[in-house]
Amino acid sequence: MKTIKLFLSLCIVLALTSCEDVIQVKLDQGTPLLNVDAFVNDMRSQQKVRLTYTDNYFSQKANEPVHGATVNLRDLTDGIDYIFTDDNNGNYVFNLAATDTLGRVGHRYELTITHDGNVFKSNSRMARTAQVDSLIVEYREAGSFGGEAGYRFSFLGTDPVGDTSDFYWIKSYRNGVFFNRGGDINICENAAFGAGADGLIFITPVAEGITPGGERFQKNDVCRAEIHSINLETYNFLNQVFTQTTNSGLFATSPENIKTNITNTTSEKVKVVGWFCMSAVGFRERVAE
Amino acid sequence: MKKIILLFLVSLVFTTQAQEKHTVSGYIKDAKNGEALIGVTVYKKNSQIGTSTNEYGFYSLTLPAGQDTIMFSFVGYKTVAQPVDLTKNQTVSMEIAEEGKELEEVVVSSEREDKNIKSMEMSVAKLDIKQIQKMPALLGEVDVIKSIQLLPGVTTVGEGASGFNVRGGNIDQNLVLMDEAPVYNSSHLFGFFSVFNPDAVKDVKLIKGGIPAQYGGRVSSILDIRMKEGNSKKLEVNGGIGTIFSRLSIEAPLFKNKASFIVAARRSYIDILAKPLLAKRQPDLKDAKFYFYDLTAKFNMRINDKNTVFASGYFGRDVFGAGFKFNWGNSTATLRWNHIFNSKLFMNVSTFYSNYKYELGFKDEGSSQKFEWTSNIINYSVKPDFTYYLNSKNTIRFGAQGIVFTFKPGTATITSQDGISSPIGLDNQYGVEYAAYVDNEQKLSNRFTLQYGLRWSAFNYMGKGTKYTYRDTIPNESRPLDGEEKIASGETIKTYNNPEPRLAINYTINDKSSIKLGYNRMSQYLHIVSNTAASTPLDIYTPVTNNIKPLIADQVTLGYFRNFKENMFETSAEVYYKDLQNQLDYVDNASLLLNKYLEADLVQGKGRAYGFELYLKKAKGKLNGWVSYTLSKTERKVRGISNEDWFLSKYDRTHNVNTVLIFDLNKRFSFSANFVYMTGTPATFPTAKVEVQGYVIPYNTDNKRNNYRNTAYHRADIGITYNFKSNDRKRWKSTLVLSVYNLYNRRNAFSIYFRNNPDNPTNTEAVRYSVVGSIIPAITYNFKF
Repeated sequence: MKTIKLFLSLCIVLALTSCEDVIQVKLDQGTPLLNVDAFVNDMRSQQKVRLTYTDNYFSQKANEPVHGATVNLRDLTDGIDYIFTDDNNGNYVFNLAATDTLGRVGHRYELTITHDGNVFKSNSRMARTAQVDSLIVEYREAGSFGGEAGYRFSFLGTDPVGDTSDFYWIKSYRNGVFFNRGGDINICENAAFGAGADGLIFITPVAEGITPGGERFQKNDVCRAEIHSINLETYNFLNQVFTQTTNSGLFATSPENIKTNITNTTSEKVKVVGWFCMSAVGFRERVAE
Repeated sequence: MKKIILLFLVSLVFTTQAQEKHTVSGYIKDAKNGEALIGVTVYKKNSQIGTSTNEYGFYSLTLPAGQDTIMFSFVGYKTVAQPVDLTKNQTVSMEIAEEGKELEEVVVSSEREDKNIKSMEMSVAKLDIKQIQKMPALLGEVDVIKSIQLLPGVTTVGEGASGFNVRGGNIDQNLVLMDEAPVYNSSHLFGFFSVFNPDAVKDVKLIKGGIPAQYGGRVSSILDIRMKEGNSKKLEVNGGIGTIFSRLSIEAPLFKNKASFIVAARRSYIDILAKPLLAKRQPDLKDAKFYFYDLTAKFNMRINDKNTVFASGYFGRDVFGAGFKFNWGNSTATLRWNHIFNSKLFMNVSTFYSNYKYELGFKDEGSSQKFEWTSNIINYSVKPDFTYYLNSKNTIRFGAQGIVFTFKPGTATITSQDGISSPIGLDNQYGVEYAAYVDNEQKLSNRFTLQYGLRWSAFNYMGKGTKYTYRDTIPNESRPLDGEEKIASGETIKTYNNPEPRLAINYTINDKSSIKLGYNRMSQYLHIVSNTAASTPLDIYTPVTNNIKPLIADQVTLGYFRNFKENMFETSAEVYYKDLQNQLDYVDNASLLLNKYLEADLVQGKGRAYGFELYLKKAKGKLNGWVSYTLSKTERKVRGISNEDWFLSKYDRTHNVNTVLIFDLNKRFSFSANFVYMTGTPATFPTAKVEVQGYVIPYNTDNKRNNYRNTAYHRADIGITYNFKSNDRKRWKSTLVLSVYNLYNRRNAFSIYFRNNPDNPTNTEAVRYSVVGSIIPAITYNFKF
C-alpha cells in the first residue's frame, strides 16, 4: 500500500504540481484526558506502563506525566499480582529477576489503574509469537525509493500453523532507537495480511519492513528486530494508528479518534485514551557489515 | 393512489375533444452532417401549440384538419416554415441548416430562445459541446465533467477528485449515462480528466431536480450524455494534439447515406514524454507504465421510415504499473432500436452492457510471491421507453427497465514464496433492479402545464451468495456476526420496492417569466463504499442487502425564471430542500477492502440538504457566459457518530460562485475566463495529542466530526482560441488553444492534515496539501477536415 501511495504521489507530481506546506492553524484546546500506554511483554527487561495527560495538539513538548496512580497487573490464570511502582516521571515500572519473565503465553491478564478516585481496567491474553530465524543484510547503492546508500535488513521467519489467525507487530530498532514514525508500523496477520497466509514464510513487504522506507543502516550499526504477538484488537488499533498518523494526500480518510480498550469502571464521564496489550516476543540482532 | 389514477384518466378525457385532427410527425436533422437535432421547437404558426424533438430528433404534433403552416425553430439555425394540408396523418422530416453568420452570434444553448421559461424542466442545465470547447480547461483538455462543475449546485471536493457532487450529494448519487448505459467511474487519472471524448459528444444534460419519471436509480442527479451519430453526409475527421492527450475521430456515411458511424480515440502520452527523464533520475521507475486511453464508437442505420437502429460502445482504461499493476476502466455497449408504430407512438428500446473493472497486483521480482486482485461491477439491461403523443395537450411517456447486476467485490489470490496460491477473495453478489413508469405532460391552459408521473422501482438481492446476519452492538463498533447462511443461485435474500412519485408544475406568468415547482422521490439500490476524501478507483460498490437499506431521497424545488432583453439574458432563482434516508457511513476503523464482513462496519443515517441557487446567463452576443451563486447547507445524522448530533457533510460548501465568460472578438480570436469560489470543505481537526509507544496521534476530545473547515477554494483560468485562416475550398480547419489554469497561482487546500515534524518528531505541525500548487499553462492544437 505504501508503494502505491508513493507511486500515485509521483504520478501526480509529474502530471501536475502538487505540494505540501506547513501552515498555521488555530486549534481549540481539548480537555486533558488520562493517556495510558501499556504494552507489556515477556522479555527479560524492565516492564513499563506510562501514564500521562493528553496535551493540546500543538504543544511542542511531551505530554505531562501522571503522578500518584497505582498500577496493578494480575495474571488471571495463575492469580499472581504484579505491582508496578511509580518512577515519578509518568513511568510505572516492574523490575524482573534476571532469569524470569513477567508474562506467560496463553495466560490472561488484567490491568487495573487507580487514579483520582477512578478505577480503569483492561484485559489482554498473551498469544504465541513467531521467531526471527535470521536477519539478512545487503548493501544497496543510492536509489530512488530508498534514498541514500547503505545497508538494508530483512528477516526470515515462519508463521506457526494454527487454526486461528496469529497477529504480529514487528518492531525494529537502529542502535537501540525504535523507528517510531506512524508510517513505519509493520503489522501482519499470519505471514501476510489475511487468513490465507497461515503457516507461510513472512512475505517480503513484512520482512523488509524492518528497514523502513527511506532508512538505511551504516557500517557497524546494529539492527534489532522483534516479533511481538498481538491480538486482533491490537492489530486493528495499530492499523488505526497507522491510518491516523499518515492520513494525508488525495485519498486521506475522514480523521477519526483512535479506539481504546481501557474502560473507566467508576464513572463513564471521565474519559480515558490509550491501549493495553500483552505480547510474547521473538527477536534477533545483527551488525551491519 | 386511486385518486391520482382517476385524476389522470379524467384529465385525458377532458382534453380529448371530438374535433377532427391529424398528426404530423417526423425527424429533424442537421443539413450539414445529418445529426439528429435534440430540442428543436416544432409549432403551429402564430399559436401556442407546439412540441419539441426528443433525444432521437423525433417529433409528433396533432393539429385540427385544414391548411396550416408548421414552423421548425432552433437557435443558431434558419427557421423553416413548412405548409401542410392536413387531411390525413403525415410525415414531415426536415433537414435544417445553420445560419450563415457563424461566430457573429454565438450559440450558447441550442434551444428555442424562451425555452427556459416554457419548458417543464427546472434544475436542468444543458451544455453545448461547442461552448464546452471554448471554456478554459485544465491542461487544455476539454472536459465535460469539469464543465459540469461550473454549474450552480454542482461542486467537487477538489482537483483530483473523480466525479462531482450535486446539491451536497455523494458522487455515487449521480447517474452518469453515456448513450443510456451507466458509467461507474467517469474519470481518467483519478479525477483530472473525464472519460468522455469531447469529439464524440453531442449533447450534455444535467438534471438536479424535478426529475421526470423516466429516470431513476440514483438520488441526486442524472447526467445524460448523448454521443454523436456520425456524419451521414461526408467524411469528417477531427483531431487534436494536446499536452496530455492526443485525439482522433473519424465519422462517415455508409450504405448510400442510410447509415453512418463515428470512431473516436484518445491516448495520453505523459509516460512517453517522461521516460527519458525517469530513466535518468528514477531508474527504479524506468519501466513504469502510466497511461490512459479510450475508444468510443457508434454506428447507426436507418432501416426504413419507421425503424432506426444504433449500436454504440465505449472502452477505456487507465494503466499504471511499476513492479505492481494497477489499472481500471469502464466498458459499455448499447444497442438501440427506434420504432415508430404510428405518427403518435414512438418507441425506443435500449439494451446495454456495462462493466467497470479494476485490477491491482504486486509481484516480487526474483521469487514467486504475488498478490492479485480484481473487482468488477457488471450490468445487463433492457429498457423499452414509449412516448405517446396523445394530442396537442398531452404527451404520455411510459416504459420499464430491468437491470441485472453482478458485483464482484474482489477476486484475490496470494501466492507465497513456496509457490502456494491461496484465494482470499470475496463472494460475488447478485441482484436485479426493476422499474416501470408512466408520466404525462399536460397543458392545462396556456399558462399552466403539469407533468406528473409515478415510477415504481424494486430490487431483488439474491443468491448465489451468503446471507450474513449481525447482532446489534454499542454504536460506532463493528457489529458481531450472528449467522451465515448459504443461499442457492437465484434464491431471493431480500427484496425492496419503492413507489417514486414525481411532479412538476409550470405557471407561465407572461412571455418573460414563469414559476416552476418540482417534487421527486428517488431511490437507489447501490452504494459506493468509500471513506476517503476523494473517491479512489479502488472503491467498491455494494448492492443493497439484508443489512444495507436503499437510499431514498425526497426533494422539493421551487424556482422563478425570467428572461430580459428579448431573451438576451436568462435568469433563474431556485430553492431546494432534500431529505435523505439511509446514507452510508462507517464505524471508526472500518475495514472496507476485502472484508467479507463489510456490512458489520457500515451504518446508515439521515441527511438533509437545502440551498438557494441564483443563475444569470447571457445567451447571445459576442460576450456570453454565466454567473451563478449557490448558498447551501448539507448535513448528516448518524447513530454513534459525532455524538449523534447533526454534523456537516464533507461535501458542504456554504458559498459557491461560478463565473464563465466567453468573448468572441472576431472570426479569428475568442477569449474565455472562469472564476470559481467555494467555501472550504468541512474537516475534523484534533484538539489533543495521544502518545502510545512513541507514536504521537491526533485526537479530538469533543468527538465532533467536521468541527473545522479547510480554507476557501478559489481559482481563475483563462483561455485563448485562435482559428487559423482557411479558404473555403480547403476543408482543413484548425485552431490553437492556449490555456492557463490557476492563473494567480493559488495553493488551494485539498486537505489539511496533522503530523510530527519529520526532522524533529516531538514537534507537531499542520500541513496544507494542494493538488495543484502552481500555474498550469497548456497548449492544444485541434484540426478538422
